[in-house]
Amino acid sequence: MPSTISSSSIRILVVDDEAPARRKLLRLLRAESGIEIVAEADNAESAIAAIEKHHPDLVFLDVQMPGADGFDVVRAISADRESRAVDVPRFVFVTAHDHYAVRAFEVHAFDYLLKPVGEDRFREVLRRAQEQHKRNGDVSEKRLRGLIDQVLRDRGFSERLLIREESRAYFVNVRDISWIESERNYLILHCGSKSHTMRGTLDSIEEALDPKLFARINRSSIVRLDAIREMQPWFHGEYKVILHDKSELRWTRRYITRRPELLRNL
Amino acid sequence: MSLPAIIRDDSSLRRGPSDPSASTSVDPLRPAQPSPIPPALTWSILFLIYTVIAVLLTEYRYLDDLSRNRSGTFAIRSLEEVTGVYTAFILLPLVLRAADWYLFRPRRLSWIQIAFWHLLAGIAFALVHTWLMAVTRQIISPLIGLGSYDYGIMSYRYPMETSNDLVGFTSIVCIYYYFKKFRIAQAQQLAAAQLKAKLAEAQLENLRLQLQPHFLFNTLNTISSVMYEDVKAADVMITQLSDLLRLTLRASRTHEIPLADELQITRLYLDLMQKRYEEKLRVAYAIDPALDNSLVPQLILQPLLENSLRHGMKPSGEAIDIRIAAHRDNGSLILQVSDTGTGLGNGDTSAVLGRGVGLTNIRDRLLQLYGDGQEFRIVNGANGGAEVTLRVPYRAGPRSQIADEPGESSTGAASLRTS
Repeated sequence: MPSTISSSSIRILVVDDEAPARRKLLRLLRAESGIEIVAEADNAESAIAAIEKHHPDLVFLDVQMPGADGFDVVRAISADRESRAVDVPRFVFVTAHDHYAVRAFEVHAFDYLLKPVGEDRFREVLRRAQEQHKRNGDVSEKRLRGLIDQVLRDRGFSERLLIREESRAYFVNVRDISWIESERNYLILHCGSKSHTMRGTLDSIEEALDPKLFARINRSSIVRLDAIREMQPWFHGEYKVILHDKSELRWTRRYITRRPELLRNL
Repeated sequence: MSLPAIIRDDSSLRRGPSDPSASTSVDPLRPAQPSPIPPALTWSILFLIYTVIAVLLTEYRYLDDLSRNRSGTFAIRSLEEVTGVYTAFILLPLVLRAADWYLFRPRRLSWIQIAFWHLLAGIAFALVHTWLMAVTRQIISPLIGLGSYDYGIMSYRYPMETSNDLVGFTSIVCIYYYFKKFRIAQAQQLAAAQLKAKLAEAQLENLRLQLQPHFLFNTLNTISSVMYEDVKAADVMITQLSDLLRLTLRASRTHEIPLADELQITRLYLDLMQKRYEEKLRVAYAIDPALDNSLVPQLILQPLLENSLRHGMKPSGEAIDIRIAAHRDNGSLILQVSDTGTGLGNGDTSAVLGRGVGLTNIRDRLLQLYGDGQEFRIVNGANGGAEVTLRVPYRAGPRSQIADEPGESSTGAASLRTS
């Protein structure tokens, strides 16, 4: 794997949605020795692709990017590690101003840079990363997990889900989903006429979704509440759920009793 | 229907400048009204007042009799005054409804017309009142052992009571008129205060946006990068950032400003954003130059642009086009912000309005400023992105003030180009 290459030079990826901000980091990096810039990315999707392709040792990752942000990148890479044994790079987060993110970085001992990036701070952070890289210190999976969990807790539920296909990865906004169906180890996200497949279980995705928007209605499906057109009482206290896209699903008793407030509102 | 009518009047007022959307049952945007008086309570109080009047009048008549050495008239005087007063009380709802009809029309009547209808209504009231008095007295008198009641010659009674009743009728209508006027003024004051608060909130919101650490730090970061590449460009950015902060800080206290002034703030903001995003953000303006002096609510465009940038940009990093258009449509000014971003998803309007204080604040201010004369619509545009349309009444104001000032106009002009 590239991270174990004998050369001491550290392979770097720079991610920022604003080109001048990337140029600034690149200029600072080029003044240093022992580094190799392998790629730059201007959005979350291409950042994930670049990490998988180039296996950088160190990623300067902008936290705020429209659509999907830096934490979405970290979450996707960390999930990758579980499924595909991809090496997790070291991350240095870059942010303009973000109280809770900075708090999370400090709690979980991640380095970060504040914009506008100052030269001294930049050198200090880079030096630390180089030392760890030389010592070949492992990137603690647990620390990354802890960071993601805290950020998830702080900012609430997932707003988008990462879909991977053979050649590309992209995000789906949860508000575009009508319902989610589970099939063995896969989840099928039904979004109007389109559908997307991702690895995962209903239990884990149920936790990540806002219960104000979604409800589990039976063992193998979750619906977005606003996608429901009507519900008809069925046998045994169950309901037939008809969605705007004309799908018909069953809301079973066991899952009705889990969310009694929903039927009171409807 | 008098007091319920007073309460109903509040709702007709509400329909006026404040809230056209009667369909939304729980509308947090509906301005608070002066708390209506419960009808049952009002009627009880009025009944009490009429009773007191009946007692006073009986006492007047009875003492009059006593002073002329006529005694034993208490029962008959009581009967006369009680029936006189309570029949008037029964007619009160009709009286007030009539007064409502000729005093509080959507289009005011002339004084002559009001006087005519008032006289007509007063005479009708007097005739009906007199007839009711005659009937009730003739029915009740034998029942309470006073024998048959003699009301004299009715052809004289009617004109006699009419002159008396006209005075009473006019007093009631006058009291009602001023009471209702007072309530309307109260409601208007409240609405004005709310509008002022909304504007203050919008200014604060806007200030927060520009002074928003994110915006500020990211712009500074861009400058700190650009200055290594192009000192002049960095210098322009610093001037623009300063101009933008200055314009926002001294945002005027009026609700409306000339379109040219609003656009100048918009252009400075978008120009800075465009320098941050470079080729990923393209901005186009389609502004009818004849509209420079037309009035628009101030600070109305920026929340829309921020919305496009924050929520419209795709995670795949594609470029976004933002188009700002202004044109006149008969008596309306149409402002449009459209983008080629992610759009509204499955057309979930709730999700769109949930996107921040900015949009609800805009909807709110438009409602309070123009009532039914405005429109605020967010739809999925033809280009796949979001399309926001504002329609406000067209009114030309004084010439733009800030655009003409030296110093600021130079950078303003620099930012006029479409990027």
